[in-house]
Amino acid sequence: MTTGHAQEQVRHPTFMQYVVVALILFLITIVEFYIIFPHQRITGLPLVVILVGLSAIKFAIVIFFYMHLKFDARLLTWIFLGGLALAFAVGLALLSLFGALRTEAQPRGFAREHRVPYVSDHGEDGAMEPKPGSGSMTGGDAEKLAQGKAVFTGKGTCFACHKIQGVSAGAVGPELTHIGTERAVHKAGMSSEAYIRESIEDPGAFVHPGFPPGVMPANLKTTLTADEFEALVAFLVAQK
Amino acid sequence: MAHAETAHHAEATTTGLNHRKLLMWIFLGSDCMLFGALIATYMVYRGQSIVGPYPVDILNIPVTTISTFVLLCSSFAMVQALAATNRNNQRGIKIWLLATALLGFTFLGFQVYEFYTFSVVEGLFIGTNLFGSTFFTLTGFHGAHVTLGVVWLVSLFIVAFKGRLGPSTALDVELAGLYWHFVDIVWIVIFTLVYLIGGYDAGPVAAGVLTGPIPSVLPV
Amino acid sequence: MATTTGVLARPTSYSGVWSWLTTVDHKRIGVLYGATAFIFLLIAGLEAGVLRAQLARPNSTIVDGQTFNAMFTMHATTMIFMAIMPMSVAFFNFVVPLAIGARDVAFPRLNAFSYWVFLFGALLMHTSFLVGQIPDAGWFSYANLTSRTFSPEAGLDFWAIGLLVMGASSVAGALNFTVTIINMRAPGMSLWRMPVFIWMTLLTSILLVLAFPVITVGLIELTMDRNFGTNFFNTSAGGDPVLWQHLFWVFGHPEVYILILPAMGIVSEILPTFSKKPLFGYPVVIFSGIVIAIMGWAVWSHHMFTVGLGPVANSVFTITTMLIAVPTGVKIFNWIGTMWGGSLEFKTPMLFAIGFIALFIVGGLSGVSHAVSPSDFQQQDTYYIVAHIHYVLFGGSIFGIFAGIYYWFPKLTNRMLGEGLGKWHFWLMFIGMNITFFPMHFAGLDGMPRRIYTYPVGYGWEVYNLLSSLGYVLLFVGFVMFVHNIFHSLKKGQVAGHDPWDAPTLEWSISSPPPEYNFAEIPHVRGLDHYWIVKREARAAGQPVPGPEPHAAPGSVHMPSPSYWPLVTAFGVVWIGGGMLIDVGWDYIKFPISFVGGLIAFIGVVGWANEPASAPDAHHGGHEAGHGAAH
Repeated sequence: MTTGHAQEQVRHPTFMQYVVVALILFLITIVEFYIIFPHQRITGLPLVVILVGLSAIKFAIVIFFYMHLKFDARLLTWIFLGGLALAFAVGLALLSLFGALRTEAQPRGFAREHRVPYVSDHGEDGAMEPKPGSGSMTGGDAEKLAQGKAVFTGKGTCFACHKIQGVSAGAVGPELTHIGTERAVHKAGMSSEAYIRESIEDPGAFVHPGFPPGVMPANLKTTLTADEFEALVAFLVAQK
Repeated sequence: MAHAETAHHAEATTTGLNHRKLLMWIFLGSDCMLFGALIATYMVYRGQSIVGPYPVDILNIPVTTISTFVLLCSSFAMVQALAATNRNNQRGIKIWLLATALLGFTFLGFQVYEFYTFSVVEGLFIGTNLFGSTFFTLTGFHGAHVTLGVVWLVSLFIVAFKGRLGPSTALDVELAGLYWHFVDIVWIVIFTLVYLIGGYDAGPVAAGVLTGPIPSVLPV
Repeated sequence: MATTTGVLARPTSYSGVWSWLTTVDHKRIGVLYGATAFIFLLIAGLEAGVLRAQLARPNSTIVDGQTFNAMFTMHATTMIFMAIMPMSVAFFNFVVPLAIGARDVAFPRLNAFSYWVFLFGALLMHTSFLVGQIPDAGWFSYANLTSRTFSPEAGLDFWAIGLLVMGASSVAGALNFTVTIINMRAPGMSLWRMPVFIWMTLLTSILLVLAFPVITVGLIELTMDRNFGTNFFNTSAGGDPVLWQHLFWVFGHPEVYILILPAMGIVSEILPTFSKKPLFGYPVVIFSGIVIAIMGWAVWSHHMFTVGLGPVANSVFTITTMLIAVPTGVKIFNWIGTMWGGSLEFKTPMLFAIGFIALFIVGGLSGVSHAVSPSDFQQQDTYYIVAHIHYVLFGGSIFGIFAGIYYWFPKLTNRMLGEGLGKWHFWLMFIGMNITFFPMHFAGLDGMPRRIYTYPVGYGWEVYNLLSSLGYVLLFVGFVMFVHNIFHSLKKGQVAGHDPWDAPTLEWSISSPPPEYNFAEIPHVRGLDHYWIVKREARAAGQPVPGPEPHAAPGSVHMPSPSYWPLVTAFGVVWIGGGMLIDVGWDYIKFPISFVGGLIAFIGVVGWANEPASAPDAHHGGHEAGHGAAH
């Protein structure tokens, strides 16, 4: 081990100074915690500016005192602040390029069109009932259809290739606007539900005339939970 | 004579700074870019999830504030560990190193609790929506840094237990400290952006669901 | 601390295979880097041969589209990450400590670690050939072509994890060289006395350290999308493929300068030597390099003009891109100014350096033409772009690297590379390069898209493509001559002596090949072009020009000892990535296997940290006491 860092015997803060620094950090965190509650008067841009300012102060206190940049070689400060400034600049540029440089979360294009409300598993009181799985279904046809539509336009990715009038505009696979009544045309002697199930589980079993085989992914069902799959089938059966 | 040259080589660097310390600071500058890109991803996708749970539905700000306190405390313990090392206070070194590691471990405990609550209880998994993907990746990467830091601190504690830490090896503690404080300041930024500023990001209300055809060209 | 030894006995051999596996000598690691990169350069060249054979005639069926996709993806990925970058690192390794008057790099074991991680990472990516699932989404692998839905095979996992591993190697190497250059210069070598190549190495290292984390995040997001069902680039969940493009090019544009700055540095060393006068406007060349390194961060979206970022973003990036052409142009004028009025000596290194300038000007000008975003709409994704990148990367980086090989080969081996074969090599390369790539400008402007595996008759692309494929044959012949020249000269080349070019920098003042410790006595640097100053003053005083310093008595200079731990740690690190790629039909086997890799790496780090940099027979620690960054 190297001995005698004579040139590195820099002045370090005393115990009490460190305690004061810690208290300032705690205090700032408490202030931050207090001002974000919605009943407070500060909102919007001023709130964001204050929060960013406060966290910048905390950041600076930690790097200059705890990491003792204040007492260390200037070169180290420049090196670290260089990386930090670059990260900050690139981050800001990315946010502006995506139009995301705003104080409130704002859904853009796709999200604006497709967002669905969240129905919690447990009541508004926040009491938590452990319930495995991610389903937000609580029963009821309307909700099931809504979930099925969400799967169709979201996680299931169906919308990207299939058109349903008023829902999606995909043009890669067959149109599904009337899939609930049309099955006789496709495959005789099968209920529409069974046909829809088969088509998702095993797309190769029957390929709509005029469309090439092997385009529809065969693993779609595995990407969905059982709940979601059932909801999707129910939604498609209802397209009459 | 060449001999003498080498003997002093360890101290005689061009800038007078120790190699390892310089390396550490450049590495931290580099790590800024890593977290910068992760945080930028989170912020770009803020509000872009199409299904819930949305942040407001599950983020528990009071609990996270407590875990933030824990991490701040661990930074304080870390500077005390370094101060004890510089003063060759063997008992202090061990106590403060252990305290730092335990506080870091407590922070990880909070994170495990948070991840468990979000996923198993609330149904937010890494693939549920964009919020899940970005949130778990960002905080998971921070948690991985904390885990590495705890392993490092425990290793130092073992070294300290053998009585091998002292003023001549203070740099070993100092470097661990720099890394540890860096993990702390990254958390300051994540806490502010994800919890304090983004904590109230909500999904649409049930009555006002927007539906409509997908535009043929997705607006970007 | 110094008495603690690892569980393994310290390697002691300085010859044979083990000495290469455990070496921490920067010169040997440089040779390892160079040889490895050269093999990958050959592989990438053969892949390009497949592409040119297929495209030589229209409606060709030599390979199918899938193979073609795999070939162009691996050609570009291999050239950039496994040939040009490590080739530059080979020069960093061999030249930097010699040219700044140091005995080794700041962290010799970290240096060995970088090499082994690079080698294992490159091999990991190439195991995709063995399992027949080769990456096939292009070198920038745009989302969401890379999602599991559209690329179900494991090729892109090999690509992403291979690049992550090699990224770790690059960052470790770059950290090492940054510290070395900042901290290990010989007394008297202020920043403004550093050779330009050292400056460019420093800037490249800083760019690497800052740029690689960004692609790391992109690659991790891609890997997680493919393996853990996240939604980063999944459009149906609101994910935006354009984010991948941004993350890729935020890294990708600095990467372009990572590829070209070392070559610029090499050329800036060679031109003064063979013009017999100092570099024209040395500070301006350095400042231009600094400006390029900074502005390189503000131009990335010029790769994305046609994505639809909007007129404001396109205008901003048009302006910044045009501005960054200015420092590059300044450098070119400085190089021409260096040659102006000099007594030029057209040895092979000089020919390649001049070839570099000429070809880089062509590539730079076509670059400015797609800096203009409206004009770029015509050129995007056509062969015009392919022509541009090959003029800057082949005409630029590769020519610079060849110049460097011819220039420093005598220092490494004490043998000259054959001049006759060298001139043949140069002219075949220069003419072949222009026949191959110049017609691509026309093919591109006539609308030929890049990455198509065949094309029909009648678009007027036939002649251009045939010319390009014929040019490839010339390049191939030139390359074979070069390989022959290397092997021939190693045995029978003319003995070089310590200073065959009458060069200005420190490395030429010691014997060829340099002793393990480089400098018996650390020199005191007298100024920019130190060795020229020394030689000029000796001549002016009527004394004989000082030869290489005598070798030190064996054992009197204490050097870092060889070590197993970098190899062990690197193996563990790469195993972590390799475990993720093992496909036995049961996903949960991956994590335990990766965990074993983590364990090996951890053992490696512990052994590393407990092992003093120098074997305990001497009491003075080397300059690396323990190892902080490995944690």
